[in-house]
Amino acid sequence: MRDTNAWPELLSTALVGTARRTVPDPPGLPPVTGGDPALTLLDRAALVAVRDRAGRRPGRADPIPPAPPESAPMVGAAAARRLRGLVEQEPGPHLAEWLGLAAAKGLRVPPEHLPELLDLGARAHSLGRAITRVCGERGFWLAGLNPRWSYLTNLVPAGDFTPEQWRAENAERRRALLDSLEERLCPDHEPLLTEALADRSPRVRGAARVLLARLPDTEHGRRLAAHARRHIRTGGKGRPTVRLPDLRDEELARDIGVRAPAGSGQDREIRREWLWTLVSHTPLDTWTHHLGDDRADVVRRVSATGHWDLVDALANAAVVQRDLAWARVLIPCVLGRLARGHDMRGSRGPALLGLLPAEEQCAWALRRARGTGSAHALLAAVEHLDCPWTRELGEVAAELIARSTGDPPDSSLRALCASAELWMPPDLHTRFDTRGDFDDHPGARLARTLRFRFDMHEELS
Amino acid sequence: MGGPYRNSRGPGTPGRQSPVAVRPEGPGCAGTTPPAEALSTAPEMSYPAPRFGDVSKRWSADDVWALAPDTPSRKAAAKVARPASWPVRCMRPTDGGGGPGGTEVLWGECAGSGAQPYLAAVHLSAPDSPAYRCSCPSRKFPCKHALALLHLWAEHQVDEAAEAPEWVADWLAQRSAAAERRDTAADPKASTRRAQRREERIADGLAELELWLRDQVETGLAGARDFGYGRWDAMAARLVDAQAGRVADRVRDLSTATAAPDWPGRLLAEYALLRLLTTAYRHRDNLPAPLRATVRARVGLASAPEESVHDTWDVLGRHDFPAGQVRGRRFWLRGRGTGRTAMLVSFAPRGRTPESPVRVGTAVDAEVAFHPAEWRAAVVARHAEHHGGPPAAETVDEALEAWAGALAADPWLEAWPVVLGGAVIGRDGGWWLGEPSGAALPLHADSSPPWRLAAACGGEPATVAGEWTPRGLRPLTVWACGDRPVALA
Repeated sequence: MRDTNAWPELLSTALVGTARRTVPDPPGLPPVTGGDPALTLLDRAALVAVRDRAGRRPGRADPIPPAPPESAPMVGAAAARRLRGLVEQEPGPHLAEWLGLAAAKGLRVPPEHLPELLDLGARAHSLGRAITRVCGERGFWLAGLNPRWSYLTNLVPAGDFTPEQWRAENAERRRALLDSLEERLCPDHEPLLTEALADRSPRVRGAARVLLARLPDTEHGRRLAAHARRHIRTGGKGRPTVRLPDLRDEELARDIGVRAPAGSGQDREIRREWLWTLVSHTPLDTWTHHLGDDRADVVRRVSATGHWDLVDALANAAVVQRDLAWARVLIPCVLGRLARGHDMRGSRGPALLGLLPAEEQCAWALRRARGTGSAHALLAAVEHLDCPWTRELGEVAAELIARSTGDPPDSSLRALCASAELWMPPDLHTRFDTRGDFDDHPGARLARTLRFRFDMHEELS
Repeated sequence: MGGPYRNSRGPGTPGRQSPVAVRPEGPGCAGTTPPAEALSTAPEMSYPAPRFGDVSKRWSADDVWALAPDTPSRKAAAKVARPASWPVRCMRPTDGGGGPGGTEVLWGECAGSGAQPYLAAVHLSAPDSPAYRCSCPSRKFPCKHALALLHLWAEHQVDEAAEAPEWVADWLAQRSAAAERRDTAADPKASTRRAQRREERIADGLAELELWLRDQVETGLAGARDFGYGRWDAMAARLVDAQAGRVADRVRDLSTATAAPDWPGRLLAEYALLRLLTTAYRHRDNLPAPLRATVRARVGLASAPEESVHDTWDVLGRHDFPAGQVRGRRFWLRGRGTGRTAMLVSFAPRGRTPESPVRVGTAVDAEVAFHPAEWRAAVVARHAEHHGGPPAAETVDEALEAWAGALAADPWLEAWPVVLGGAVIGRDGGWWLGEPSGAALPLHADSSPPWRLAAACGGEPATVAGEWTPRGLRPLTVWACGDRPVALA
């Protein structure tokens, strides 16, 4: 017979000490040859410990519900091996590229890598979005088991939802649902977005503001346009003039979804912020026939008067509203200023460029670099690109870099190689000499990286 | 080939030997001459060992990277593993089979930053393979060059050569000579005297430990949590002096036990098992032979393999664990024909990888030599290696019964292999692994939540191999969809 109290009794005596308490003698144990009480206790504890270990009975637990079956095929063995290497390193651009390639092929990752990937995605949202496309059903199932990975479901475009359902969600989810409208935004969404402009959460209001700004011909847009025209108008000699908003203007505050901080008086910084927000969300066509004859004329007049804040706000408006036509007329002005050494921080230049299709971005960079033969000049043209390079651009860069491998590398060449590692078409790796002699040259590093990417592309093709 | 002692580096580089199979007993002992008793009863084995046609497969890249001592080494090796860096990269096939992919030895010259290329070689066909050699100054073992060379070989990027260059031939000759030296041990009388002296010192150390345990229990364990590391370390140091290295590790590990919420129970159980060990050691001459061997092994006295068993062994799983100042790695094997359980253990100092003589999820047709205790064994001759498929499963009841039987033979046992078929993950407060009947085993805290297992099997029934321990089940390998083995560690 087993005495289930044997262990707790022995333990409580051991905690207090045998100097102060008698050693228990649980029934059912073989006799222990006496002597020292402490050693007797240890002998009995050994008997009970081993007996309990050996007598361990199975328990029962409810199985977790299984994951839904997969529809997408898994990547091949070589790609899986590379993924394993990538997740073990610091998350870098190659992991994002791997995920993108796999997603483009409609493949999913070997499920055993999901825990590491989901951990990485929890730290970097851009990665998280890519993971949703390759994690398969298993990934969402797994994310449902661990609160730390619940972000995954917020990154997936949600299905249709009613305003009632939307109102019942918490702020984070309300925002996620609004974000999910992005790809299928249509005029029917205007009432919901207008309602969300008055949401309690500033993040929900911000998301609604951005989406409303992308809808043509909205009531909200018309109200913003009216505010905007009052603050920015054409003055003497056809020059635009800017009046900063009055922080007591409650109607304006409500329409742009902000609140004046208490006691801010007429703080100039806050007034500038309000104007920035107003311009960013005001329909861009408000300005044609108001400040100039057409888009180019508007930009010319605003920059000619040195209203750089307004140029930047218009650039931001083009980014927020994803307006390609405005981006094209703003890019020369904004990036031209950047090239002349103006502060890069906060510039919307790269984001404007990012609105253009990859071919157009690369063509733009090639035009800027034409005729220049230095790494410095080419770098200036490509450093704002955030897209894979076209073959034509890649060839120009490869030729320049390959020519420089004998020289001591300068910082421009290093930076150019660093960009090329990310964006140059990987099959151009054959253009570089990879003998060990130039092992530390950035060109050699580039060649290795391209080779790595080349293999990666092959494995996922 | 001399019993359990493994020399992975070759005698040409003293102090760089990898202590494997024989536990380094106390600081400074790693890599020195093995204790004589380890050599006295070596089974008859020729060198090089495999005498049969070997159809082993060339390893995959995964197998190679598993040998890396740590992640930075793996990254460094991946960078060097380009054909362009290796103007010379060759392999010599074995004479009549043996060695993975029929390879005896690999060598290569890696162009580094210096004028001289690094010369790296890997011996693949010996029983203690892989053994590495490299002329680089790296302290990592194996170094990135050896790993890179193996990787190139795994990817079929090395050339076949009939003749090895002189430096490779010399190294192989040295290894062969060292193996023979180990076979013909030194003066047996002197070694018996040494062994006796050591047993006496251990007895003195254990007597001291017993007094120490007595004092702890007399004054009460309640204060133990506030000891800090010092108290245990001092006792452990005395045990190291007494050459009872394994007991010393066990005492040192007590300091970590007090961090757990159930620390009083764990501490008492450990104290009680230590007392059981001191008593058993005192009476060792009166114990039945198998129990005596277990007691000797548990205090840290080395043993030699005694019995050689030929079978097809499923490699159930691998577990890495800290062991005092070194890292330990154990593999669990189960024989398909004999049903026997074998544990392969190896140790390595920090920065080196413990030896991996087998690969998880494979089935190895091999001769395995058993030590007299702890189911500890060594692969002495490997004939073939297959993709194993899921190993034969047992029920939870059978597994617990086997565990009870094993405990009866070795009450100090910490882990026992378990293979459950159709196993599903359960959640009920804690995490469980259950079988179709509904019976379930709780998972070890270190394995909870079992994210990798859950990811691999998706909550579907799968064959899972693990270690059952007094603190729960530690899943090690799962054969999920398509019977692909996935190591969980």
